[in-house]
Amino acid sequence: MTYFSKKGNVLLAIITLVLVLIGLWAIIFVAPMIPQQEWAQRIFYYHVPLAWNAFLGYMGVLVFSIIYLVTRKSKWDIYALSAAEVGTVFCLLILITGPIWAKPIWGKAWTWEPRLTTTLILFLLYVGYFMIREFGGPYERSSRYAAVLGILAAIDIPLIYFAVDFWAPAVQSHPQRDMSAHSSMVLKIFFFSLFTYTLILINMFRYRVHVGKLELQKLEESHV
Amino acid sequence: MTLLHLIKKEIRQEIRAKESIISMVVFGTSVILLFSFAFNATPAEFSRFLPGLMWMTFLFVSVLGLLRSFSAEKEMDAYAALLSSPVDRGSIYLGKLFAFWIFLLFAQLFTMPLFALFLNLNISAHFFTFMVLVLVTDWAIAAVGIMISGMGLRTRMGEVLVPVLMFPLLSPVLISATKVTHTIVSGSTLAGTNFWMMILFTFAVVFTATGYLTFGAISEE
Repeated sequence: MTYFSKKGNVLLAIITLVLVLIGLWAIIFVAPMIPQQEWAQRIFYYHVPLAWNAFLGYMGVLVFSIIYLVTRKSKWDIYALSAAEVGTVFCLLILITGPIWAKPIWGKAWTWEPRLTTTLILFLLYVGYFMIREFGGPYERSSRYAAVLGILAAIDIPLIYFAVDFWAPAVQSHPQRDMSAHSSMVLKIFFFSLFTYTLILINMFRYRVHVGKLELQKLEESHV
Repeated sequence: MTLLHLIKKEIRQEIRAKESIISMVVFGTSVILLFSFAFNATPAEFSRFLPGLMWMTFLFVSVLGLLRSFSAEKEMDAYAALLSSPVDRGSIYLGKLFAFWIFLLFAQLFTMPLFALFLNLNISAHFFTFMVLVLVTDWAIAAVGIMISGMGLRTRMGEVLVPVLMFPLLSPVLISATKVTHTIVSGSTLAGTNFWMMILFTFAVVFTATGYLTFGAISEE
């Protein structure tokens, strides 16, 4: 059975696709220009939802990892892995879209801005997470290791953020906080984009869980 | 009581094998030597990046020590014997953590004077604060390090995984320790360091607690 043999999944995917297209249209043609930032500002309609998705993904890793360690049911392990993978994809996209915006606005692609730095550290942490999944030995053991690492990493996030934030206080902070001051249309499109991106996350997560379950099935069959 | 036994066991093992501390001290010394060749800077220039260099050195040194910390257990499956003893897993973690903390401090006892001698590390202005800083930072490094090496060293790529997992996790510790050391070396007032000390303390406490709670999941067969 493929992922798309379920009607619900197809419907969800189609709705998401339509909303993404509407969002793209709104961001290009409807969203008002913001003075000084011009076109560069529009990446925020993507950049912030991406960050939101990465955050949701990593919170998912924390929650699913704890449940997995308590119940030891492989379902939760698959959820944790799926959340980690999806979260890391979005994390990488933040790291790509951040510099694209920063280049025209700040004049250089990379600054040690707290959030960007935190994201980079997080990305490295989760690369390690996948490494331990890969090299951790037997399936059950590497799952346990990964669950513990997922918890350690999630606990580390606030500490990394505070440390990095005070480490480079001179670096400009993100300006999107005052985005809403410009026009109510900006906020409307922003929340629309946030909603769409959350749907994308749900699609990706469900698909990854489906694949994960198939992988586990195959693994169990090969053991029998 | 069991904790005391576990710590004693680790320390006795180290006294007999002398693997960790010797390799840590020798490695630390050679890195310091390389630093003074590689940078060839005046003392004034050095004071700017000395705190960062110092804590980086100790991070590398601790990785080296950690790689040894589970090696004895690997041989002849001593780890299985340790796990089958009637001790809870959290205590095994605390025992290893405490022992490694002592080893790291011991290694620093030898390498820290070299930083003063070769690279003009001057902590006389705030000696006491510096001691507290070293104690807390080492504890934080050990708390994460024992967890990571407990996982990493029983996998295929342990030697690679330990630093790869440890360094990003410890980034708040490195930042905080470097900031505080910077203030100490510059001899200025310590008012700004409270925040960093708080991060270090929080880190040490939180990760010790998490390690205590989750070490069981790591050490199962």
